[in-house]
Amino acid sequence: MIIALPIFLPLAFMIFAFLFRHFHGREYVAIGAAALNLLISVFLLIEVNTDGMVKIQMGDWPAPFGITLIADRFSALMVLVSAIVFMATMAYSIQSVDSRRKSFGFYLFSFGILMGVNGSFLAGDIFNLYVWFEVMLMASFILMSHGGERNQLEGAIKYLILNLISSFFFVAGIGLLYGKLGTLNMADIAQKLMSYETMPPELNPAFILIFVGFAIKGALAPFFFWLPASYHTPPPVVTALFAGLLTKVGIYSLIRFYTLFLHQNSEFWQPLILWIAGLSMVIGVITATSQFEFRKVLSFHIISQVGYVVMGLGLYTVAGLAGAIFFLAHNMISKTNAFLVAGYVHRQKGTLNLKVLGDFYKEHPLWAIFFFISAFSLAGLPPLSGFIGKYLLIKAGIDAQQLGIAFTALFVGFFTLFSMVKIWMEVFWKKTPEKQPVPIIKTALFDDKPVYINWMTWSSGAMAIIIVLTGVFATPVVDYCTLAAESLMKPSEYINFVLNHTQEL
Amino acid sequence: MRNIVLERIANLFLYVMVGFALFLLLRGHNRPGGGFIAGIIAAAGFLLYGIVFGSEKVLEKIKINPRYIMGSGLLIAFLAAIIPMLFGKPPLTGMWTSLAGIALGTPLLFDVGVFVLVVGMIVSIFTNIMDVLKWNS
Repeated sequence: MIIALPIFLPLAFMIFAFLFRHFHGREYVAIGAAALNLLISVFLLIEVNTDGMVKIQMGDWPAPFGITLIADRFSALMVLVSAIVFMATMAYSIQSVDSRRKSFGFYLFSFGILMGVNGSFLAGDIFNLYVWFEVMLMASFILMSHGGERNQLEGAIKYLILNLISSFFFVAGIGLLYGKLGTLNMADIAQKLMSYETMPPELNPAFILIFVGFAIKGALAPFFFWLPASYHTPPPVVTALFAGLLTKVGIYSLIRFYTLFLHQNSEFWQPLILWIAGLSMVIGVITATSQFEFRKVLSFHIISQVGYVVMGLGLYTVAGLAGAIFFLAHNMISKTNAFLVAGYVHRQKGTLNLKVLGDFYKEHPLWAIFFFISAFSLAGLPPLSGFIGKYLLIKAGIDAQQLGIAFTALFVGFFTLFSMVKIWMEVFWKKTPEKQPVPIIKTALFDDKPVYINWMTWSSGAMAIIIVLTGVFATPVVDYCTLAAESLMKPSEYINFVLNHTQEL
Repeated sequence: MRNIVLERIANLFLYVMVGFALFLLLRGHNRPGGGFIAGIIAAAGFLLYGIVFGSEKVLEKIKINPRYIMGSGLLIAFLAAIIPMLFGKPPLTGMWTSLAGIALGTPLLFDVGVFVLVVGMIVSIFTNIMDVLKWNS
């Protein structure tokens, strides 16, 4: 029963926000709901970890006909990590979002995103997955254009059009697949595919379309254009939320599809996925070095880090998948925190142009430490969580005899370090330049009401502590990820669980 | 310029279409119809009324802010989804009871929620567009 709550709780909050739009304590209700969501996801994780998998059939219709919600170890971990990210961004937004945006439904649409994300992680039916993608897309489009500043609308248009194209590809692929196989339940599709000796070629167009849809959503090379064009325009906390959740859902779905369906045609898909992973890593990291805007540098790094996750998937070994899952979870937290620090810099200085900024370490040493932790976790310095993730992936690559991709990952790691050191030098270390090369435009992106708790510092600090702790005490997390990867490698377990079980609650 | 014939027809059609929408809503469980299509038809009645009389008159006619209509529609559908959970069944399970020989169940409640939500949503969209275009003012 608990598996339905991560979807119904955000919906309940949205109804509350609709009906009590003038309620003044809505920030605190939002934080309460986010905390409750975190609690629910912890219980879900515990339940999944003892039982292996949890499922529920919507409307009590049995499996291939009704909609299945299913959580295995991988999706439970993703729900937990996105709950952590969401909690931190909601707490952070109390101070960082202006009251006009708040009263026009900032929390309403943030919970829309949470609902879409949780739904996509738990969906066991491809059309249901598509619907959750749409929920997420609509809510994120509104948040992206919310407030209506000029450059924000420009970014929102690019974001909307490219994401609509991706949804179109996805739903076209679903349609073809349904026409060929006559089912939408993921376990049922996987079972039907297993009954073929070789993958029938008439299914390939459907899978290619779905793959391209996920690749656009997940910002993989060569489909990443929308991401750096739009992520630097909305308020910083919105970018932090998007960076933590949206692309990762695309990657999650890709991993789910590969392990259930595409691996049966692995001589075609595996080299393709490895090439895309390598290209994403290299292109993302090299284009990032040429940027001079704080959030743009981080946005290009999203592309390169998504490449790491897909590399783990492309190896298709237990170690590789475990590394991919660990890296995905680590990346959601570290990346969000890096954007949260960018938000604080923006609040203090009014700009994020690296050439203009400086002296931040002297003025705000605590935030410099937060940035240091999250950025160098992204770059992969021990003992932070990024080091463990990269170590697992590269070791898995070498073990799987894929030396090319393993060395690419190593080489990309150096460039990531270079970019992070560049931000560190420019923003935190160097003296503020005497003559400002570009004028600073102050935008009303935050609330100046006095608050009793310094929410920004607490949320970013908590994330930094989580990063350090997952790096230092990595063993239980890695063990959990290995278990999750093992069950992903055995799709028959998933199929039997969804199809052959009698109804259980 | 006022057109009396058009105004009378629009006024009459509003009631006809809302009445037909309610008929479709109740018919929808076993035959064509249902909450979504009924909501669209009712909203089309309000749209016709709005084209003739302007957006303020529509809002006067329905008396409630469309935003609250949307919220309560979501709430009704949400209740239909979670009521079975209170009885230990999966969400959205159809549960039936009978009142004076008429079968009432959560699917009907869900349809009513969808109906209210769709009406509120479409009314809210077109009144906003009319205000932007300064229609009839």
